[in-house]
Amino acid sequence: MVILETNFTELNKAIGKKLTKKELEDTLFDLGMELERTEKDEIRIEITPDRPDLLSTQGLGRALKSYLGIKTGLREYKIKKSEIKINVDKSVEKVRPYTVAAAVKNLKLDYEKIKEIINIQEKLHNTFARKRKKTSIGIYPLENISPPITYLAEKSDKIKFVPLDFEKELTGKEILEKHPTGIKYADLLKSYDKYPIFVDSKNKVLSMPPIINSQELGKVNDKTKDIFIECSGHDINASEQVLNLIVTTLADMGGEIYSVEVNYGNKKMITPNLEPEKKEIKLSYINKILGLELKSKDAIELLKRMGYDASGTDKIRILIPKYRTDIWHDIDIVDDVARAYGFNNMKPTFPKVHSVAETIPEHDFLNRLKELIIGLGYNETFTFGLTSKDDQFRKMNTKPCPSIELGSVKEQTINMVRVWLLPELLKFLVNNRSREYPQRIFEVNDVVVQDSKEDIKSKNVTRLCCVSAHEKANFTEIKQVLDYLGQVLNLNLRLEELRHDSFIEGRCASILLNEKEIGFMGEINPIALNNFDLQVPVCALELDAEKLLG
Amino acid sequence: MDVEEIIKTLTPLERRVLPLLKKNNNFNSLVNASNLSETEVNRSLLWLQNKNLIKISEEVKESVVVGRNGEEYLKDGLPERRVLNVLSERNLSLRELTDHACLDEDELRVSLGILRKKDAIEIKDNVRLKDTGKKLLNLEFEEEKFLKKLPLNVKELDNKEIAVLSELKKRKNIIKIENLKTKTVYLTEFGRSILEKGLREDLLEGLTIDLLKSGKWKGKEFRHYNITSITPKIYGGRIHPQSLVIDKIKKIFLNLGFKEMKSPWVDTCFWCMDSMWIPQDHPSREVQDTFFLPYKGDIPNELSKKVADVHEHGGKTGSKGYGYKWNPEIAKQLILRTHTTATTYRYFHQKNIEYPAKYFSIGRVFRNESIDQTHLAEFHQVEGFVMDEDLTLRDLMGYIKEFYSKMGIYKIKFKPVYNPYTEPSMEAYGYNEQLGKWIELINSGVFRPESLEPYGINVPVIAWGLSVERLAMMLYKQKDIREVFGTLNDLNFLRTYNAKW
Repeated sequence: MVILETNFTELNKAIGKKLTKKELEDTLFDLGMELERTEKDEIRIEITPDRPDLLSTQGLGRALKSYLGIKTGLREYKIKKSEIKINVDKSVEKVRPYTVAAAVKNLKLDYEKIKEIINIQEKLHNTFARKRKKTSIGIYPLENISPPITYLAEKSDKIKFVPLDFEKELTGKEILEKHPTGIKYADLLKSYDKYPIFVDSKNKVLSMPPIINSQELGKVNDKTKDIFIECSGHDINASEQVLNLIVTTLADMGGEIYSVEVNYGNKKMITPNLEPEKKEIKLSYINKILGLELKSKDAIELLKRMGYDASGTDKIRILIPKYRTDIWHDIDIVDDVARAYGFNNMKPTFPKVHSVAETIPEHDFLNRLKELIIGLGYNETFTFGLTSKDDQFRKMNTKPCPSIELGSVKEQTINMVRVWLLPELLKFLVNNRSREYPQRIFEVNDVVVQDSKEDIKSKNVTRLCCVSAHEKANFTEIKQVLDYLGQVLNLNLRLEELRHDSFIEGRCASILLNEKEIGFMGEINPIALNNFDLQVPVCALELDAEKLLG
Repeated sequence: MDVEEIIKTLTPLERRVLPLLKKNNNFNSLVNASNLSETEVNRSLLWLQNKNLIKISEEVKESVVVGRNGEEYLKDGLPERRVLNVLSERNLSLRELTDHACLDEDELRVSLGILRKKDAIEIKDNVRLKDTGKKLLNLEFEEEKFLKKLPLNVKELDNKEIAVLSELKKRKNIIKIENLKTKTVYLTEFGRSILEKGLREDLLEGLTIDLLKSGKWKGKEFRHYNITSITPKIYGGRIHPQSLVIDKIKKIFLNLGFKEMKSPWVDTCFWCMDSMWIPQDHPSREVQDTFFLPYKGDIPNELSKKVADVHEHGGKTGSKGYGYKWNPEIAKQLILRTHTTATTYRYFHQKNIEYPAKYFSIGRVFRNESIDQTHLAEFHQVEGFVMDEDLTLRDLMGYIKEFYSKMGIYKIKFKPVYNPYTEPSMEAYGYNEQLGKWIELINSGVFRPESLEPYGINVPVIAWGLSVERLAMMLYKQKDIREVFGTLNDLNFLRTYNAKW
């Protein structure tokens, strides 16, 4: 969940209209967002995760301003040329190969705005930038930097600077060990012997991306007017997109955007590039997907309300703003038209699609099997498939058998997928010790067993388990259940004596169908009952249910 | 009811107890006189009271009851009686006396004291019975009479009894004073009139095979039952409430002409994510939401190439793609499936589905969560898809509306959302009249072209999914998800849940 925490008055200012909270809530809902909580002027909004451009008050305000028709169409952002250059050294190729940059001047920063910028930076890091893996953002006061800047990789113990919010000089290696941000993101650099850094022409360190800025050149305060921004990482597209997101937001705050020249030796880039992307989309495609009969005029108006520029008739030419990182295909434009039109303004239609119903025959059989057992007075249970080795094996007094084990889990009571049902039904009895006896329960459900022949190295097996718990529960009772099934399903069943440590010796049988073992039954071993803390005799049967179908 | 009618309903127990009430009002004496157990008497009194034939008054009274030693003495005789008896044969020394009478020293000392006071014995070298003592051999002591009469109401003791009581009080544990509940039963006017009328002995208690064969039932009346009396509860075997919801959903799909699908719980990331164009660095792939299993599976070769294509540069769909290098090793990772859309994509590939087509599945899915009132690590998901030329977003809305109207939910609204594999996507909210609020019910969308191209599907596919548990909670008015599914279910709920909704 991506949350924007903002201020109601500030947001209304950015929209350019005084909305009530109810109006804001409804508008957000129609756009796919949610007003989560409001407390006086503080509001929390759940942002749709594919729209990082809405992660700031300015960005969201910009979108709502269009959507509400206050100012529609494409926003133009002017870029002036700066003299700042970045030289990218070959040494970063293997560590963190790409960087793009920009400057924003004449910002009137105050404490609130700095906080907001840091918030946007953090949110972009955590979502779009995938926890700084794809790219990371560095923001610096421009005043102290002496360009040109060099982006290079240096031996981790040779890097020396005072990191942000520290007093002492640390080496690159020490930063990963001692600085809180260094510790948090150490995994991104740890495996390299050289770490990337930005240095200026006086050889002062700006930062060590993606970890931390230097205290000397990298601390923005309320006196800062002009800032320098770089985005560097493994993904040049993502880096450019994030840079675009940041500079457009800062421009909406009142700043002026300046370009930076990035030299890759053989290649030169001028960033940021805010030239809108051009796309052509057929009106018929929009109408076909949505089931509407929009005229080009309508479609163009709807597109403008989503912040695009649009023109044309059958083929609509669209200009897509650079902060939109979620447009892969024409279908994404169609979706925006639908949002502008309003999902709840569309009338549902019910098409004729001819096809014949069909069930899975095994499921039909299993339902019939369930009816038979219910007829014997058993209550169906629906137990968890995730369980523990302790319950499935130790408490049942048996040795572990191969099973599907879980990796890391949040729920501490589980570590495997069940291989049989009986232990889970006994757990059900434990949870219901205070309920009236006799308790007769059963389940027809899946377990998972290992199978190296399958593409998933395992397979689901549907089993039947019947359990009866009361003072006089015994082998005869449970055998009657099996005999009854054998009779009404016309099965060739036979019992054979079985040693199974979960059952009392001499009162346990394996169940053979056409001379092949399909399950077992008997009176539960008091050792197992003790392990589960059950104080009532229990008899049970468990078998492979689909085998009964033949 | 009139007298005649009442007489017809009297059970054999009631008929036995009722006449006794003319003479016995005390519960204990009633039990003695009836030759029935206390429970039986109690039960019949309760019935009689319900018919207004008797009145029962219960009183707490300070009473003298038999103590621990007293009970023993009632059985084996008082110590002084035992001494008296052994002395009737011959004179005995003190030591011999202890052995013969089986008494401890204390008891012997007390007994000798009492017997001397009664002038029954003489102690010299031996102990000898005097004439008075001999007479006493065949006479009951006052103490013995008193013990046999217990329990007695303290307030109702006569002077003689008070004297005996004060003597016995001095001795160890023979008697004790307790607050006893005493039950006194009186006939009402109505009860008396019933008795005057006379109880019928000619009523048949029940029909038997013998009676039927012999025809002796003819011309006779059966005792009438009190048809409103409370009977012990029974419980039937029942289908699980969750199964009932699943069956209902299944029926809706079948009625609409859908075909059923299934697939396993364990699956590769390929089928759960890559196959439907979820990017390989998508947050939902992180360990915190998904159960990653310490195993790898196999992925289909030819299809992988096509899937790689759409991931990397959008294939031939006109999409930009994600612009990364698709990694088959990530796709081989086995997980517990997080949604049943994996089933849909397996069918796209394996069943060669031709449109028009409608399919559904209901299956278990898993999330790496801690269990609480609103979260389970596993739950059930329903998924349906329709594939045909010219399907639209409005058609998807139509299916969702149709589906929920069959569940009794008519007020639906839609909210656009983001899903990596559908566009447009939307959630459907249903208005819950009882709670007076909108509840999120369904996630849905039109499958993205990038997610369909690898399977050669070039017509629209609309799809939706929902949680069975959420629906079950609504239908059974449960606030705790653990009550509608799982090992933690209450058997009482499974036995008595409301069978109609």
